[in-house]
Amino acid sequence: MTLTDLNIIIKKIGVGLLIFLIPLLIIGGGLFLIQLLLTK
Amino acid sequence: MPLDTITAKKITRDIGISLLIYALPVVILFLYFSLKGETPWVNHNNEPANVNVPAAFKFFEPVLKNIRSWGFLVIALILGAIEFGLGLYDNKWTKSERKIDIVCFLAPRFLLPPVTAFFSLKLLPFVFPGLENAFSWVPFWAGLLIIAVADDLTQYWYHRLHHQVPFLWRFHRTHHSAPYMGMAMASRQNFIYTVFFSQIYLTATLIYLGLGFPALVVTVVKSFITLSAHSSIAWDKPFYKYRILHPIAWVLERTISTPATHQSHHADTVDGIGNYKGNFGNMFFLWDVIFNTGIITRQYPKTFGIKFYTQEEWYAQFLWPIFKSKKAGSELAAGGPEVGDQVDEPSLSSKENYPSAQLLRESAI
Repeated sequence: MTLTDLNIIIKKIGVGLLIFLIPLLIIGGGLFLIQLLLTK
Repeated sequence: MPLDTITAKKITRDIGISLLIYALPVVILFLYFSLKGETPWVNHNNEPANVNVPAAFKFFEPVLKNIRSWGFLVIALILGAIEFGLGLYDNKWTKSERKIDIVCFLAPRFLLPPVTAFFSLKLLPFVFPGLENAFSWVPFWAGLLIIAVADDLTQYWYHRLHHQVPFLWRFHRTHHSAPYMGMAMASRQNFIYTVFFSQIYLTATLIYLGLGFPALVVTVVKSFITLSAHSSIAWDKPFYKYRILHPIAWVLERTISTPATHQSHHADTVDGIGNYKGNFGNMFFLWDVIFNTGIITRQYPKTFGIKFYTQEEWYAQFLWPIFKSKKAGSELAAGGPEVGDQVDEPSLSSKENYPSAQLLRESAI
């Protein structure tokens, strides 16, 4: 395995991390917002 | 090889739409509690949701609860035995293909659990301390909606990007190199593709946050749909054959992946029946409908696989780029091309080119 290969793997992990984090932030943040906005 | 401008623009636009789709179940839940005036999270002690499996499904409970480990194995083996019984692999399951399929089927069952266990049991409590079951107040129906959208749309994107972003293709190539469809190749993936599956970690995080039971139900349903879509048993054929079933077929093929739409994705051609540059949906085909990345033909491709295939060694297919192929000119060899079978992407909007394809943009939902 070369440095180029390692670079490809790191870039791939970066893409995967983004795909993981974006929906988590929307859903997790959304559920927290529901609690915040609707608690009397 | 850089990403072409048209594809990049389409990806950016579709990601924008996806953000709204991810938010939709949460917005529905907000409206539901606003209208009902309920606040179940008040006095909520982060207890796990108490849900019982219906009595009718009790006998199947162990398989369901262990779907990610041996439950999946049981279902795949039963379906695989039926396929072999029907002689659906012809003579294409050669010794070298068998080796790849078996390694890809068995090795992740031992290699993946320690990784996911570390993520769920160590990393999540460390990153989100005190948030275990924080959202177990979410009603079951809403949890189902949240998990189904989150898990499958994330997988759609993970899958689509591995086809459309050139440097990612070789991590997914192993799944497409099989010249046949069926249970034998359903788990056939490069390990690096599998271990960084974004939706596994997203769903694990949502389970940690309290959506465990909806996640279990979605996983079971999804396993059945994706396995049957990869199967060489064309269970959807009767829906196209009998006119009375056509309305059901119309809904079914636009909602979930069927053997016809998914076999099209595994075809080695882009000819109006085969569409390996599209039909990315896993559980839901709906994403392909929304983003216009799919075609529906109600026909089955005659040949599967990839044109640029040199029957690479099992270790290269399973662990590229850690291990490289010795086959000269292979995509998996040292210095091999990034995308060997790059062809001009046809315009799926052209019915003249592909008269057999029922184009999605012409058939309004």
